[in-house]
Formats: sequence, structure tokens, C-alpha cells
Amino acid sequence: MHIPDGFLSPQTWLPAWGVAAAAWTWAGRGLARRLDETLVPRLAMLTALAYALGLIMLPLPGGTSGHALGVAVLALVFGVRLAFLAYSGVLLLQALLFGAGGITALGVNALALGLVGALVTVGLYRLLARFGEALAVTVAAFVSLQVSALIVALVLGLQPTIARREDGTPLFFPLGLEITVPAVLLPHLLIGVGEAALTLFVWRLARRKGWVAT
Amino acid sequence: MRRLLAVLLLLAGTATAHEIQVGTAGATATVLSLRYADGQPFAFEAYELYPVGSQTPAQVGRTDAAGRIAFVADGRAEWRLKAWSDDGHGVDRPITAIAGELTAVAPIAETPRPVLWLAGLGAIFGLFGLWQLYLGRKKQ
Repeated sequence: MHIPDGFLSPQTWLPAWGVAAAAWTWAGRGLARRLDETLVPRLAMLTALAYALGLIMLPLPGGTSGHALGVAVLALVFGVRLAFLAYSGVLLLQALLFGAGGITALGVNALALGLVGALVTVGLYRLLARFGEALAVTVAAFVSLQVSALIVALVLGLQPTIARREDGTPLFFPLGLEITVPAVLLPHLLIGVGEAALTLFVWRLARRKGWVAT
Repeated sequence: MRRLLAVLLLLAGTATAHEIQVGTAGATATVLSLRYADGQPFAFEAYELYPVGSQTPAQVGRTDAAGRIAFVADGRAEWRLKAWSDDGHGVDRPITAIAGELTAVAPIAETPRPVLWLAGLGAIFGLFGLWQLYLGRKKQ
């Protein structure tokens, strides 16, 4: 789901970098106070998990492949701000080392996957917790992945409208919303089931160890 | 009747103007190979090949079942490849065409993947380790 370099117009990725920079500033405020000695090793472990998950490609029906994110578990254990910062670091590493996701697209990827993913996870968890924590975790993880996927699909699918030559040829990603939305969302319905199961498993472990903050 | 035949014979020369003539010629092609990181071929996906600096693609099409693109570089070494799938996977990067050779198109092809994995994990634990050290010193 990471958007690579060259697929987004500057009209898209430049403002996204601006918004992401503001969000990183917000998330990093008071970090030294919030990130104490007990939290650092835990955050390191789950950040490493998210990094590893993002690089394990699972073949999906239809010839495509996908991977879990690990954002939901970061958000449930550490809250939105730390999850967003940690996952942005994961995206940066994946882009620099593997070319999985672009540097120019980092702002969009971080906002769609890291910030929105974490916000939807925590919001839905809080909303649904009264119906049972396991249900809340599962639904929150599943839905947050779908919302992130939808944003990625919308951003990609809008590129032919945002930037094209005089003759109408798209300058960047050439496929419209009618193709990107189903192409991105349908595989993620399946990936979401895996993400939800994995989130629940890790969340239960974290809870047993007394790590959970939300 | 003879006149009509003569006219038709004269026109026959131009009557072939709309035919597509297919010829074969020996040429050395460059073959690009596109794969996902897990080795799965980037098969049947759309691509465009541009000579560097050109806005008009010299070749467009779809990769084959093995994720390959064969093209004749016509002496040009520097090209730009754009390839994409419907779900937003793909590449947009410069390619150096070497005739007769298979060029693997991976984001970073030189370093073995396990080394990159470990480098990433090292960066994560190293960074958080430094933060932990900083917190420890601050406490003292």
C-alpha cells in the first residue's frame, strides 16, 4: 500500500509533506517527557514488528500481494502520537532501504497509514470498547486498514485529474478512481482480516504484560 | 473491358497502401525483468519506456507472464521506465539499457535483502537504544 516515488504530482506530495511535518511536530511535542525508560524498549519492539510486517509480502488471489501494517497495534498500545511517529520512521526505513514507498510520497504514506490509521484505530476502539475489548480491537484494526487503503486509492486515483499534459495524458499515476478504489480496497479486505487477527494477538500479549496505555 | 483492366492494373500498385507488411529483422534486445521483492513476477502490468529527456514514450505495453519487457534500445543507453499495477504498485526510475543483457528492475538490487532487513532492525534498535541512553543520563 506504500505509494512509490514518481506516482504523485508535486501538487499532491508537497502539501502532504507540509501537513505531515506539522503532524510530526505535534506528535513529537513533549516526547522526552512521554517516552520514559520503561516505554522505550516496548516501543522499539513493536516498531521493529511493524517494520518486519511491512516487508513480508503475502501472495493474494488475483496475482497481487499484500502485507500487514502493524499501525493498529502501535496505536492501541502507545496512543496516536507515538504510533504515528514510530510508523513514520518505519516508512522512512522501508523507503530508504527497500524502495518500498517513496521519499516524495512519504508525507502521503505517513498521513494515510500512520496518522489516519492510528486515529481511526484509537477512535473506534474507544467507541466500541463497551461491547467487548476483543471485538473493539478487531473491528478497529480492520476498519483502520480499510480507511488507510481508501485514502491511498483516492490519492492515486485523483492523479490523472490533478496533473496532466495539454492533450489530457496523465503526467503521473495514470489510472482513475474507478480502477484504483476497487483495485486497492478489495485485496485489503482480505489483508484486513489478517491485520485484525494479528493486532488482537499482539494486543492480548501486550495487555498481559501490562503495556497497554489506551 | 481492356481499358478497364488496364486502369485496374495501374491502380493495383497503390491498392496495397493500407496493408500492414510484416518483416523480420535480427536485432539485439534489452530485456528488463520486473519482480516483487518476494520474487513474484510483476506480470501483465502496464509500462511505458521513455528515452531520457523525452515526454513521449518510445514503447508502451504490458509485461509478459514472467514480468519481462524486451525492447530495442537503438543505441540509446539512458531510458526511463514507468510501470504500474492497478493497485498502485510499480516503479518510475531511470534504466541503463545494455543490449543483449537482462536488467533486473528492483528498487535497490545490489545489497542482499537479509542484509537490508538487518540494517533496518539495527537502525530501529540503535535509535531507541540511543534514546534510552539519553534518558538514563538525564536521570542521573
